Amino acid sequence: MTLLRLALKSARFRRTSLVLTVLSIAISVTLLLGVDVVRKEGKRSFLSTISQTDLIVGARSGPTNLLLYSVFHIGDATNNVSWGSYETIAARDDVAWTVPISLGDSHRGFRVMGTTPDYFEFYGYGNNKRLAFATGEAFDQVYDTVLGADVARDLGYEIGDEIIVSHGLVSTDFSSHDNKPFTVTGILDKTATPVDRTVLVSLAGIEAVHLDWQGGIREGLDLDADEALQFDLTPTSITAFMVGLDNKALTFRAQRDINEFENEPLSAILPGSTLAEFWRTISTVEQLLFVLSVFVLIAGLIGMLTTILSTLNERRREIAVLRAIGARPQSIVMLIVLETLFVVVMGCVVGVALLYGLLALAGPFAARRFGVDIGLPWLDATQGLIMVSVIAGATLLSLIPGFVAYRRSLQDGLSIKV
Amino acid sequence: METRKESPKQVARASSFFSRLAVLAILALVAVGCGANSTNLVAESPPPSIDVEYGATLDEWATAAGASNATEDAGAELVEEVGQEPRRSSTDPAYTDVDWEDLIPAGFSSNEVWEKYLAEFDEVEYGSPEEQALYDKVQAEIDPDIIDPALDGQKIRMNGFVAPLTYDEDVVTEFLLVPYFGACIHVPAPPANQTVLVKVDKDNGLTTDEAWGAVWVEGTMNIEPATTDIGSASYAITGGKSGVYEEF
Repeated sequence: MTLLRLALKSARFRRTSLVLTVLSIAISVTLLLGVDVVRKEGKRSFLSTISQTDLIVGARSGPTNLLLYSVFHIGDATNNVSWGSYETIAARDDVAWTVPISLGDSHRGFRVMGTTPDYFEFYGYGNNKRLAFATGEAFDQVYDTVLGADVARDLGYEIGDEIIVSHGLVSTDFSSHDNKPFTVTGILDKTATPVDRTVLVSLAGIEAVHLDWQGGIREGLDLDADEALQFDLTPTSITAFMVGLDNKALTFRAQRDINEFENEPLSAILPGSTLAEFWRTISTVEQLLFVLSVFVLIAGLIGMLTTILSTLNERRREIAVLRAIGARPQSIVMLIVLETLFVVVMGCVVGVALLYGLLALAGPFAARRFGVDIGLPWLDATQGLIMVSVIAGATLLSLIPGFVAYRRSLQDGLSIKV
Repeated sequence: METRKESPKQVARASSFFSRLAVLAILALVAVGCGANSTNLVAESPPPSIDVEYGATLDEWATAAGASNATEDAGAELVEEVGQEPRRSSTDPAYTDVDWEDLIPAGFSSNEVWEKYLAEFDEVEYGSPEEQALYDKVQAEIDPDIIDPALDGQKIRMNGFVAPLTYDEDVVTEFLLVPYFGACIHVPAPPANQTVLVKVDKDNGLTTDEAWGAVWVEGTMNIEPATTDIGSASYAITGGKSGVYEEF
């Protein structure tokens, strides 16, 4: 172990350049591991966003579009589904349950979704998990609302608080329904799905706040909350609805019937298939990212090689002294190799630390922007393999300066011609 | 200033040590590289030769082809995630191989129904209303939902394609098995007796990558009774195993 101690002591004198080398390796390791972690976690979280739902139906558009706006609240519907069509399909023999949803409003950056209390019973995610209430209960009155876990936590709401819902996706005071506040009656448990970032209200609530918005802006008729209750608040249209069937084997027939529905152009998707399909389109990007990261790593390793080679000149006297006191040329090589090994291992450690730091910081942002929840997972076999490859590759590369040092140590002897 | 000359023995020892180190490092790198993530989907073995004479009928070909494929592992190599082997369907004789046509009870498949009425079609004038009435009668008799109760409780093995329903982490644990690819998107739907609901546990499930191609499923076939009085019964396989179908 004297060799290792010798290497470390020698490294102390060149710590600035070595620290920078460690950093460059750390960044490439973070990138490599990060791409792998984000890919796996993103996929896991994405695929478990919704389950136990046989079909999702919306106005005709692409399957991915329908999936994204109805489940992930990303993007917008092209058109609405009329209430009549919804009722006709809900009345089919093969349909066991339906849950209509209505999108379009927001509250301080969080999407507001109108739905029925059945949503809490039938929405499933992950491995047959259901929504649960942390406190309170589902909405009952027109102006009741239930908050997702993140909404309540980020905005500090509790049961009984009043919130104002805004029209459209950005909350401003001139586009808000400020004459009709909603009261929080329930807060959901954390689910790690986009539900956490949703404000849930009843369909009647959505109708009530839009009664005086018929022209797309707030018109002269200024109804307050109580006056609005006197109107018939059955919706005329909804954005989409979820369907559960009696018999899953009839899923394809039901899907075809809905796609061919004569009264209105509709699309029905199987959420499971569409999730997989969408993820597949991303997989090319994942592979590309991985290839890019490998190139970054190669750049980092070559940088390390350059650093060591360039400092070899300064170390000729040191090596000469070591040779004088009896070090064999092999030991000089091992010195270089050990120092590189140390640098790379430190780089990996710092890289992993950097990775977890970034995941902790950027995780909530990713959840907000993309609706996927990336936790802080342990490193798995593939990632361990990546790190071993990095260390092996760097050690291999270090044989080059090692060889140079070995040759020079043979030529130089005790006094060196600089 | 003198340069110290190394004795030949020292030089030899040093360079042999050096080359040994280099070889070791290269070996390590190669070993690591081989073990790392690689998906390789290539059919590498030649197609199996089928022992049939020229001029044989289609049925003879089919029988001979079935016989030669049964034991030969002529499929692709699929190595995922650090050398995990794909699951093979068992050669357990307790499981009978079932084709999609077998799911329709005898006498009720559309071919058989049409054959029953072929003679009558000959007698009817082309384009006449009687022909239309006969046509409607045939269509009404073809019940796409009729299932074969004899299959209840049987241990079977089937091949097909996957429409995933439920995921557990990255594994599909519940899916619909259908006869052809693309059944989940826009092409006309397979009828209820050509759709099998399959539930497997996580260890025997398929990853999302595996679920894109042909798969085999083994398990006990159950007939799920109709949940409503107007609904129909359907096929389901529970407690089974699944894996990538590898025979081309």
